[in-house]
Amino acid sequence: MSTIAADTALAPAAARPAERMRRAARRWRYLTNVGAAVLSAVLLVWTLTPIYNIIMVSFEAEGDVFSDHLWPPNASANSFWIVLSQGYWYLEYFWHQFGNSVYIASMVTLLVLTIGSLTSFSVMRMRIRNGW
Amino acid sequence: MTTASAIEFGGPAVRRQSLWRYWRGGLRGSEFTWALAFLVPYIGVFVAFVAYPVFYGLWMGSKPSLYTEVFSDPIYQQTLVNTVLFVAFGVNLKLFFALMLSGFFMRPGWWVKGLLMIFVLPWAVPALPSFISIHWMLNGEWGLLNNALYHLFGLDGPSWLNSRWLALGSAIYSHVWKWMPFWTVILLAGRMSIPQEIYDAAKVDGATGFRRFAHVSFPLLANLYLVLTLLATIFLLGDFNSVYFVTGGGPANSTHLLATLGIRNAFDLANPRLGVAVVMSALPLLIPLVIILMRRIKNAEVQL
Repeated sequence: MSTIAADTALAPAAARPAERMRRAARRWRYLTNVGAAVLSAVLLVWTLTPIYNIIMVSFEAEGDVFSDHLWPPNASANSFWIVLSQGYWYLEYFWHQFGNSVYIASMVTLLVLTIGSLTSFSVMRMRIRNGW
Repeated sequence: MTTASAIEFGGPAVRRQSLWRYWRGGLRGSEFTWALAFLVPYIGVFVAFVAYPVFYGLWMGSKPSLYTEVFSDPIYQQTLVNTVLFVAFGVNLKLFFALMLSGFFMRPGWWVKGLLMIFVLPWAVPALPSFISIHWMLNGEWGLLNNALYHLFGLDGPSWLNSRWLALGSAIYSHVWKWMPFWTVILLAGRMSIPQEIYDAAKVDGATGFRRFAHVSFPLLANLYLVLTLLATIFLLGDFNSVYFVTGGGPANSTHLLATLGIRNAFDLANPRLGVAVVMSALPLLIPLVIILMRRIKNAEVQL
């Protein structure tokens, strides 16, 4: 191969480096977008599997937990109705227990806010100098 | 105090006064009284619910013979190995993935923000239902995971909770599942506080992709990452849910952590002192961690 032939072969590629760089950048952006889409799909499956399992089990008919399936074979909201109407001996005091939860949650919120804001206010004013 | 004596004993009197001011945090007169009054509820709660239980626990676990009993227990020796593995894998996996994913969630676009909202769900959902759900999901015969493996790939999955290492792996998985979103959000906040100008300067110097991460993002996040590692270790040593509700310490008490073994000894074996002694045996590790953390936490922000 002569030097002249080599020069002419290289010439068109070297003539437009800007075009080549733009194409490489586009390819790179395309690859990262595909990667991001794959990662998002993996994250969705990872995050939602146990949560889907909660929802699936809650909509199953009695005894269906012990069968082989990926979605409830006989979906029904019956379990929710049993809970809300206290229709099982184990859930006899459901609304009482629900009230306990509400009571504890509101009292904890109230106490934490009151005690915490009183304390933080005086600690701020007292300028704890050396800190930790 | 008269003027004459103030001049006479000028040095000490002034020093005593400023020390008194110093003690009162720079507050004067009635303000100091109010500050004390505001602090009383907090101090009361602290003494009743933090100081008293801690000292009661120290007193309960103060007999040396308890520790010879604990250390000679073969379950305890297994538990120590489990705890070390749980800390080593749990903390590092969740923080490493959180660091990587926080970079992913920095991407612009509405669907990345939507995905972030779904991604923080495990942290927002109460721990108990999700861990019981994972326990059912990993069941070898009726669990969702093995059903999915069978229907989608024709594979027969193992019974995840029936061997020590698989069960320990499942517990680590559920811990990482539950807590990774939390650390991701914290590291995301850390990344957001890095000024854009630094990235612009790096871009001018030609740093992209991995080099940008290695030479710009990571050095700036390193201190925060270290503090988070310490904090995650302390949190994890106190974590009880992810083992207790996923494996229940089983099979045959082989996947206990110090926290769950303490509960077992205290309540299932009805020997509270032994349970406290098990948990206390983590103190030689915990106290140095807390001290290092308190010294480090001052520079927890992103440092420029």
